[in-house]
Amino acid sequence: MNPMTWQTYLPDFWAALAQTLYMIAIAGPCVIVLGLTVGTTLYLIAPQSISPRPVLYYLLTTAVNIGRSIPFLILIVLLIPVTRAAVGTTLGPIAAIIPLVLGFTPFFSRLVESVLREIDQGRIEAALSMGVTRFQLIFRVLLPESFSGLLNAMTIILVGTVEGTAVAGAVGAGGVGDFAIEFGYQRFYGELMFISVFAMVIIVQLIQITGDVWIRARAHKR
Amino acid sequence: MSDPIFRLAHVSKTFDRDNTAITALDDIDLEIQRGSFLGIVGTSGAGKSTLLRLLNLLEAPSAGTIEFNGQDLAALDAKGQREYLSKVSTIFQHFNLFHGKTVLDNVAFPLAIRGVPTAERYARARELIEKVGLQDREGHYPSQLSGGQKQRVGIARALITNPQVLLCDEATSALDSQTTQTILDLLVELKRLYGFTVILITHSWDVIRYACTAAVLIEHGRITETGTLTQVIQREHSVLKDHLLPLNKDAAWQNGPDTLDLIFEHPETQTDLLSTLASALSIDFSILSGRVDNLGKTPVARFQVRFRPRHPQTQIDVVQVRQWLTEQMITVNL
Ligand SMILES: Nc1ncnc2c1ncn2[C@@H]1O[C@H](COP(=O)(O)OP(=O)(O)OP(=O)(O)O)[C@@H](O)[C@H]1O
Ligand SMILES: [Mg+2]
Repeated sequence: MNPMTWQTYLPDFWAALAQTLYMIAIAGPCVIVLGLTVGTTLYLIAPQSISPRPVLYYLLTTAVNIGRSIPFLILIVLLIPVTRAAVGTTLGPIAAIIPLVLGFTPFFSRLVESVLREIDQGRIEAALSMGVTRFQLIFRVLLPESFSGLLNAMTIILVGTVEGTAVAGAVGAGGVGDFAIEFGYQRFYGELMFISVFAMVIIVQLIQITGDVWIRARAHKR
Repeated sequence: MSDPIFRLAHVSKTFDRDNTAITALDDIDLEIQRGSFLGIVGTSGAGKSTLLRLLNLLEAPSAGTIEFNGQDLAALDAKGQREYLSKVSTIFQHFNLFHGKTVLDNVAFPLAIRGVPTAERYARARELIEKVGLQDREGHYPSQLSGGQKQRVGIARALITNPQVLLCDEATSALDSQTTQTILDLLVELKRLYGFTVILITHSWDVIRYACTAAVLIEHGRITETGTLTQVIQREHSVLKDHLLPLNKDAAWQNGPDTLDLIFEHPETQTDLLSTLASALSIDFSILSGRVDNLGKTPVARFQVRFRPRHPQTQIDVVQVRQWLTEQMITVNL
């Protein structure tokens, strides 16, 4: 019989949870900021758009497509040399940040681009006819006018990032996913598996509910 | 007296669609007089919106020059363009308000992007919101307003920079006729108050009759007729005139050498016109068709009248009749 009860490992669970939250807290904002930047750029430089740069658009859109088509697990492996060079290790939550950011930014960029495309052209033309600068157009019109759609996209991408931490955990990044595999699966503590899954569900729910409530609160601003 | 605020010379605009050139405007020459209320009419696809979009810099002409107060628009740098766009504002068919901003922030937006301090721009925005009659709505969002109210916000937003020109691209097309009327009244009233020039695209002759002082007809990218309404109704042949004062006069019995088409202002002061004419020249008359329309505040009558000699053996001297009528300031067409 196993001499230890599952409760013995609860401190390890809390540590794993902290690692997961840490990964999301660092990678999430990075994905959002980078994705907003790339997505807005894609939107602006698309052919027929506001500042068309067809060649640059083609390069960027191809890069985004490649980024989206690499499975996350393979991306982590491919990035091992980069991660080692950047953070000095390929283990632990810090090592998962680079793959998480590079893995989820392309998808989020695409989401941002498509949300911006939904903005009715008339409002943009109204702003241009008032003499907005490009900078003002982005920060005072494009992003505020599409904010509900962007919130929705952020909810999607954060939930994706949570799943990503679990995958990264399985290859040595730690976190709840890693904990579930090690204690729940390999050491047969059903309770720990259950707690781990439950924790992931709670995190996803919290993100989703926050997003939904926020979007609903803005219903009349759409 | 000619005092053009805009002068367009040989302006063309071609678009490239799937590698075929589409000529939206073809060698346009046009002077737009300061203080006028100019209506632009023409069938769908004629190039009306394109013309307006050249004036608010959403498009650049493919050829030709556009001058605003004598200044060539093509010569403006980015800063000059922004300054120009504070003098030339636009309102839109679908209002194009910012949905994420309140009425107050929508109206204040053109000042916000010019760095006007918050207190100052809100004070000015409230002034205009009151002028358009929405003082109790400043905290509302566009989705909470009716179409007419949205256009009022659009007007307040356009006027906050105190522009010299207000461009309207079918600004009332999305509104019912009663709301259209109130929006037109508002435009006319604000124009009187602030003295800006209005350039308005419309498909409605009622709108032209009610609000405009001048009109431009565009067909297939070319200007086919232009003039003040007063000039237009005095022309012998005029498409604009026939739309502004439509007369049913196509039947053969309505068209003879003794039939004249009379147009005159203020028929209410001319009640004895035809009887005076009849006794002066010893002729009889019958009215074949006729109507009175208001151009702005001026009632204008258009009648088709057939003249007959009072004595069967005599002849009608049409030249003499015309001359007599012309002396009474009446436009006469055959
Ligand atoms: N961005 C564009 N690209 C290609 N063609 C265009 C573009 N904008 C306008 N056109 C074409 O130019 C012509 C004139 O269009 P415009 O919108 O000025 O017409 P309009 O007189 O305003 O018509 P409507 O009464 O339907 O609004 C049309 O043939 C239109 O298809
Ligand atoms: Mg149009």
